[in-house]
Amino acid sequence: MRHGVLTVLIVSAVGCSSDQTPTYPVSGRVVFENGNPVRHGTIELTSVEYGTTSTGRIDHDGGFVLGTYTADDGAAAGDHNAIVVQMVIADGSFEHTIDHGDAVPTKYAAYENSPLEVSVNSDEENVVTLTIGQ
Amino acid sequence: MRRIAGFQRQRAEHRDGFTLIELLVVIAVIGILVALTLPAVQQARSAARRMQCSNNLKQIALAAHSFHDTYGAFPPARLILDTPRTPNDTATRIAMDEPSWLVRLLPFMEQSALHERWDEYSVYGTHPASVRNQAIPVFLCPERHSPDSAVAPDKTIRITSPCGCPVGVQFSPGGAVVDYVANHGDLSPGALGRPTDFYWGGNGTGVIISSRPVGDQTAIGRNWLDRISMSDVSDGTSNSILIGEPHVPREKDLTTPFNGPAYYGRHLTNFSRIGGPGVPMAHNPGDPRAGLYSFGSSHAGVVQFAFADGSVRPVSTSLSSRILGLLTNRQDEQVVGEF
Repeated sequence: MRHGVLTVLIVSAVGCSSDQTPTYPVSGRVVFENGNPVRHGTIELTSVEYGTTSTGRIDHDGGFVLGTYTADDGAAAGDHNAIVVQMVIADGSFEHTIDHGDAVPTKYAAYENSPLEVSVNSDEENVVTLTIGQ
Repeated sequence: MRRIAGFQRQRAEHRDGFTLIELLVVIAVIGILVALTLPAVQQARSAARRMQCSNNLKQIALAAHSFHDTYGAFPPARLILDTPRTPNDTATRIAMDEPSWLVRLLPFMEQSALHERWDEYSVYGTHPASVRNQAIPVFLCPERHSPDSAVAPDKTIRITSPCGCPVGVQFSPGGAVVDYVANHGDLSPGALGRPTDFYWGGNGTGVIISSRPVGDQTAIGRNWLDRISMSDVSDGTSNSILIGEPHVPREKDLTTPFNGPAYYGRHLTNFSRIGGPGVPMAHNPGDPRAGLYSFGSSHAGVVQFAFADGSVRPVSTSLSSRILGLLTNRQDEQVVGEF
């Protein structure tokens, strides 16, 4: 036989890292007590049980989507402590052209002082509203 | 048998060579082999670039140590006094337009000739373009920039007031960018109790921080006030980050404030970053959660850091923000543990 048979086996090894904590989608809004949205900043949750950090950008209407290992994979199940951090630095070197809205009190920027808590359920879509007091 | 005879006759009529099928099979085999090896070759090239990138980080950390040996302190990230330069000029603060820490390291990186053309206590924009645009290979990570593509151009910014009326035009001088940034600390409140305190001189909790110049608005001395030495790194030099890599979104390359002229002290984030709760590390250049102040890298899954003891270590991008904060803060007095 002049024709042989050529068999090429391509094995694509897809790495599955099993050391990641399972996460569940979390989205929501951050508002002030008077109903106005927080217009910019970062929201961050730290899981009490796992110690994982989940972060989201707060958009101009107070909305956010949390992500732990990717941008929008949510957060680990269970209780979390939460902080809201805003950084506006007025050194004059930039023209701030967007409306930053009301300022979030600085106690919300550190886990030691922030009263915010979020509970993440593994069996439902988590949509949370966080209210910023004085 | 007739078939074979006919075939042999046919063969005899033509010259020996490959048939179309044989040729196609050979091309297919070569194609498959190339497809199999190309990713491996690219991976090896990327690993080599990452190695080069970490070597540069080590060189800069060693230069910072030499600086420390000479001056008894790590260099200040930049100088800034929270006072307008003149009563009428609220757009800039005293000393913030002077060169950044990277210029101070030049003599310790065999760049004395270039350093002689800089004055650390005069405004960045007064230096000629040939000095400002001098990119230095050791300051660049090969995965981000080569020396001939590492210069941010001059920029003219139109300033408008809140009503939308044009107020004026501001010229922002360009210059070489740098792919390594100082650890300016975390968001621990400083004297004013605000998370943005770090920005002003002397408040940063990192190792290479903004410092106030010696003197006041009437007379600025040629020295700096907030000196961070090895003994101020009370968490231990192996537990405190010295230098890291910045988060730069792809479309912000060579653009202030993510990746602008790094010798220019005005825009802090061009040459220094912070990390900790509220300021996560970027998982990749497209991570929408990371911001202007975040560390980040162009390597997959890790950001490389030089620690204050001179060691260079890759750190996973999914490190918890609490531990990142312990590593960036030089004096939090807490145990970091394994990371």
